[in-house]
Amino acid sequence: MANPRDPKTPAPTDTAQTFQTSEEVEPHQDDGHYTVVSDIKVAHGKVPKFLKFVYAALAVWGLYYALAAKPINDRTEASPSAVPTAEAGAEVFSTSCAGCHNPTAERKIGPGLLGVQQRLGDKELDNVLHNGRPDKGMPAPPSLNLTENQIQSLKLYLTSLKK
Amino acid sequence: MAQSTVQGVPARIPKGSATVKIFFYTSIFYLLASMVLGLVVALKSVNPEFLTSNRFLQEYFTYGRLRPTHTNTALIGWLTSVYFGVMYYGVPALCKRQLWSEKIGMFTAVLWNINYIAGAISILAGYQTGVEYAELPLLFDIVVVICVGLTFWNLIQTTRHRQEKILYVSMWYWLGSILNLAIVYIIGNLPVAWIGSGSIQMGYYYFYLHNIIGLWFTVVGVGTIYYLLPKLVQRPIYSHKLSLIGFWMIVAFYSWNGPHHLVNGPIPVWLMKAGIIPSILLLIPVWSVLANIIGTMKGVWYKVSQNLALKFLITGALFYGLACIQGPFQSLMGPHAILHFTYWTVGHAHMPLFGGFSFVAFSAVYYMLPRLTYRHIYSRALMNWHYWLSVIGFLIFAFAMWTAGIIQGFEWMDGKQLGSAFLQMLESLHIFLISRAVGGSLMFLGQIAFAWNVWRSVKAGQLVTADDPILVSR
Repeated sequence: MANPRDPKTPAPTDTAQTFQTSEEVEPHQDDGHYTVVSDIKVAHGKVPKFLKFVYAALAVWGLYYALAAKPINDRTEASPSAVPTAEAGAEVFSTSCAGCHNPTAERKIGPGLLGVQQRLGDKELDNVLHNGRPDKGMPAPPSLNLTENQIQSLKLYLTSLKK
Repeated sequence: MAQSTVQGVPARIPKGSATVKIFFYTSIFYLLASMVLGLVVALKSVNPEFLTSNRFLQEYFTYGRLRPTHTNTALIGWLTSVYFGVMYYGVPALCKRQLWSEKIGMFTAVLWNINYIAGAISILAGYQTGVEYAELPLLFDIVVVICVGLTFWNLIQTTRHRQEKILYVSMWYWLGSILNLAIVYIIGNLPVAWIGSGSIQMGYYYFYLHNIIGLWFTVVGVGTIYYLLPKLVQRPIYSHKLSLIGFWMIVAFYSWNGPHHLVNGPIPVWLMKAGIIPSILLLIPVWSVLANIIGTMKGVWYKVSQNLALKFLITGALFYGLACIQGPFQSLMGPHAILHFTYWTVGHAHMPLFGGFSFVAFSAVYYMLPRLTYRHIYSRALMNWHYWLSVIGFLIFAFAMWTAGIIQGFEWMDGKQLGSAFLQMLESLHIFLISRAVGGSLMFLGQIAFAWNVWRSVKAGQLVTADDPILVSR
C-alpha cells in the first residue's frame, strides 16, 4: 500500500506539514513527509546534531579505552586504609582468634596471649601467624581467609599485649 | 480463526485471539505470584525469623529456593508470557490478518503454562541447576525452547502471509528477539558437564544472564514502544533513520555485554574490555530510541496527562533510559569494584525489568485488552492507583537499595569485609531493608489494583459500540 518507491505515495498532508518543518525533514526518495506502514505513519526526521556528536565521542572513547585502559587493583589502590594497625588487629583477634585464645595470661583452648611477643620473639611469632601450629592443632591464619594485611595488623595488636 | 462475533460489535470484527488472552491472564497471575515471593524474601531479610515456625517452612521457604522462584516467575512467568501475548497480538495486527494458526498458538500457550508451573514447583522443591536466572532443570528448559520455536514458527508464517508489503519497525524487533531468545536460552542452559567449570562456565552463563535482558526483554520492549507510541499519540514516528540506527546498533553491541559482570574477576583483561566497551557504546541505540520517542512526542506531551496507557509507556521509556545510563556506568572497572556484590545490584536489576519493561507491558495490556474483549477498561481510578503505587513503591525500593549498596561498597573497601566490623555495617543497613519491604509492598498493592481492574474489565467493562474508535485501529 505504501511503498516509498511508488510515485503515488500520498503527498504530505496538513498534519504532516505541522509535524515537521522542512528543515527537520531529510531529503527522501518519496519526497513526502512520512511513509505509511501497516497504517502507522513513519516520518523522516533528521538525526539530531547532539546524537551525531555522541556517536562520534563514543567511538573515540571506545578506541582509547581498548588501547589504554589498565586493570585496577582495588585492594591496594582503592582502599585508603591499607596500612596495618593495632586497632584493626584487635578486631581480627576478636573474630578469628578469641574462640581459642584469651588476650590475658589465662589459658583457654590454646594458651593466653599476654606477652606472647616477648615469649616467642618476633621471628617465631611471625612463623606461627603464617603457618599455625600443625602439631598442636592451631590452624594457619591464612587458611582462615586472613589477608597479609590483617595478619600484620594482628601482629601489631599481639605485640601491644605486653606483660 | 474464530469468526464468531461479540455482542455489540460489528460482524466484520472477529473475536479477539484466545492465545493472546491466555498469555495475558496467566501472566498477571505470575506477576502477583512473583511479587508475593519477592515480598517474602524482603521480609525475611528484615526479620530472618519470618516464616520459619515449622519444619515445612524451614525447608521450602528458604532464601535459596524463594529467590530463584521469584526471579524465574517474574522473568519467565510474567514478563515473557506477557511479551508472547503482545507479539501474538501485534504481529497479526501489523500483518493485517489473523494469526497463522490459532490452534498451535493455544497449544503453545497451554504447554508454556503447564511447563512453567511444573518448573516453579521443581525449583521450590529444591531441584534446580543453581545458576542464576537459569535455575530451571534441563527438562523444563527443553519445553521452553520448544514453545519459543513454536511461537517463532507461528509468527513467521503469519508474517509470510501478510497483507502489507513493508515490515514496520516493531516487526524487526519482535521477530529478531524471538530468534535471539531461542539462541540465548539454549546457550545459557547447556548442562555444566558440556561446558566445563570455573571462569569458562561463568562466561557462558553471564552471556545468558545479560542477554536474556538485552536481547529479549529490551528488544521486545522497544518493539512494543514503537508499536504503541504512534497509536497512543496519533502522530507519525519521528525518524525512520533513528529506528534503523537503534535496531542495528542493539544487534551489534548487546550480545557482547556478558563479561562486564566478571570485571575485576579471574578473566583476561581483553575479555573485560570486550565486555565494557560495548556496554558504554549501548548508549548509541538507547539514546537513538529515546530521541525518536522525544521527537514523536514533540508538541503533544500534554497527552501524557490525559491517556493513562501513554503515561505508563512514557514512564517505562524513562526508566529504560535511566537504567541504560546506570548500567554502562557500573560496568566500568572503578564503579564496578565498589558496587559489585552489594545491594546496589538489586536496585539496578529491578529498574529495567520492573520500572522499564513491566511498565511498557502494563501499557500494552491496557491498550490491547479492550481490543481483545471489546470491553473498555473498567476503572480509570484503579489505573491511576496502579500507576502511582508502582512508581512510588519502586522509587522507595530502588533508592533504598542503591544507597545501601553504595554504603556497603565503600565500607567493604575500608576493610569491613569480615568479622565484627562486617556485622556492624550489616546491622546499620537494616533501615534500608525495611524501606525495601515498604516500597515492595506498595508495588504489590499497585499490582493488585491492576489485576482487579483487568478482572473487572473482562467481566463488567463497558461494551464497545459499533462506532467506537478502538475498532478502527488494532
